[in-house]
Amino acid sequence: MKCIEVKNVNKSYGSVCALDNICLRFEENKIYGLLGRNGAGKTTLLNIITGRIFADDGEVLIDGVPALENDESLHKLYLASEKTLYPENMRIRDAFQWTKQFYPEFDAEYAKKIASQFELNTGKKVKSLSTGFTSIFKLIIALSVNTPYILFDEPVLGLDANNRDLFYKLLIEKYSESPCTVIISTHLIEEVSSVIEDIVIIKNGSIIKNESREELLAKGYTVSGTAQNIDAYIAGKNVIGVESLGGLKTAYILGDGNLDTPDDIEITKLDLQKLFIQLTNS
Amino acid sequence: MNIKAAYKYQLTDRKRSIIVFYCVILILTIFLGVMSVNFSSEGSMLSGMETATAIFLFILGLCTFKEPFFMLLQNGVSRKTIFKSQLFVTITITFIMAVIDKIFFIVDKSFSSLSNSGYIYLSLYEQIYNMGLPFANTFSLHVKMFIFYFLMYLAIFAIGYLITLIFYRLNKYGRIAVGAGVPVGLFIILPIMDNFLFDSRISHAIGSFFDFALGITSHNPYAAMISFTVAFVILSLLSWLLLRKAVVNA
Repeated sequence: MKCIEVKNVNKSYGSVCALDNICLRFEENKIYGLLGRNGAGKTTLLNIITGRIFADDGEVLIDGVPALENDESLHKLYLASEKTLYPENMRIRDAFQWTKQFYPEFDAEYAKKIASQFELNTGKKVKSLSTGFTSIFKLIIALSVNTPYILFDEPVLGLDANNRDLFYKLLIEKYSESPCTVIISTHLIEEVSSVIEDIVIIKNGSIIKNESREELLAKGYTVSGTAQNIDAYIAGKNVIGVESLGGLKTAYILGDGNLDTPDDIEITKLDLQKLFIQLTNS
Repeated sequence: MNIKAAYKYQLTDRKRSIIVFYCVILILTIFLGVMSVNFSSEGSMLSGMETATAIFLFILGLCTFKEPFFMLLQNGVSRKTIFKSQLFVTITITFIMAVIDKIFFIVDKSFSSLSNSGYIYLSLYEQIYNMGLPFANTFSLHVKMFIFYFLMYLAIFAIGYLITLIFYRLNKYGRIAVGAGVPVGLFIILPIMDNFLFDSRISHAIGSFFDFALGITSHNPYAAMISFTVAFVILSLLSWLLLRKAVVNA
């Protein structure tokens, strides 16, 4: 089966457990959001999948084949990481040329085209790029590399709103033209929520949610109203979080909200970012 | 596919520094040759070009690991392939540099024998094995010298590469300990201990070891060729042990 399979992966740094017995499957041609707070273990997981660091236990399979030190498997992945691994003195256009050498499917013409859309000067050296343009440079390669699995770690770091918008647009375009598996690890949940199909939420090195966005958001609802009404309504319900502002209260509840909701309470869909905050708080 | 690209990348990465090095050597050789022919009344001697190449290769070995390692990992190349391509690149570079040094040697020797100004060019090989003058210009000697330099360059590059890998794998405190401890131990504590406690027996043993390994007293360059080969194999194996578990440091 074509997928990235993470089997019983553990990773510790000294006494800190970064990943605790992670079991995951990233299936073919889906866009995943890998969500978690700072230090939750997202980057560690992506680095283990791509062989940049080693797991203490467990293994990663790419299309059923162990990926560890396997050129053929590693060749199916591309990670646009937060850390820049390209030589500082390399020019962007040279980086494109070398990527073509390693990934023959790399579309150099497309890379040049979107570089001009992002207004990235390909004659510049990597070290001379600002934080935003360094992210753009890596995004361009990731969008042009045409591997079956593309992984983004904090892809929009330092990008302005216009470039973030352009990135999501190009990603959707690319995915529509030639579907592949995309994993986006990010903090900007609200922005990415319309792009992702499946959600993996990681908390303190453990997976707490792994399901489709629709399923996850359909599992609950948001109610808002006066504090008194809300308190009365949520009694005995599976409440995952409550927010108060003045005399108004908002509660996030797991379950079906269409059955017994009084008229004086407003009911809305769960918001992914709110849900994420509630699930990962504490 | 990956090994071909990795080989090409690493070779290209080092090409520029090698070209710059030989440009400097060429300019220096011409400059010193012209100076000695025109301004030296008692004749002059130019030597040690191979030593310069050896030092350059040692430094190149020291500077070679991190950047290509990161770049190749970024491009889906396994550590096994990184190591293999690195070995092939090392062999290619040292072979080419041994060839270039041989060409320099032949040109310099021809120039010194044709010139009647007393200009003498003496190679490292001649100095080590004390061959005396005139130089026996035979094909077999040229081949022997070439193999000697090629293997010497391989071993010296491998020392630099291993050192840089050791430092990469160590943590901050380990780097400080090794960076300060090894030179202090080797060049201060050991000589003092040797002098006061062992009556210079350690330095004699080291001297004898190198004399035997390089075949200096016995005028046996084959001993050196075997020693360089063994050193290259051992150093490369140690490098692999360090590289196979190397990770991208934060």
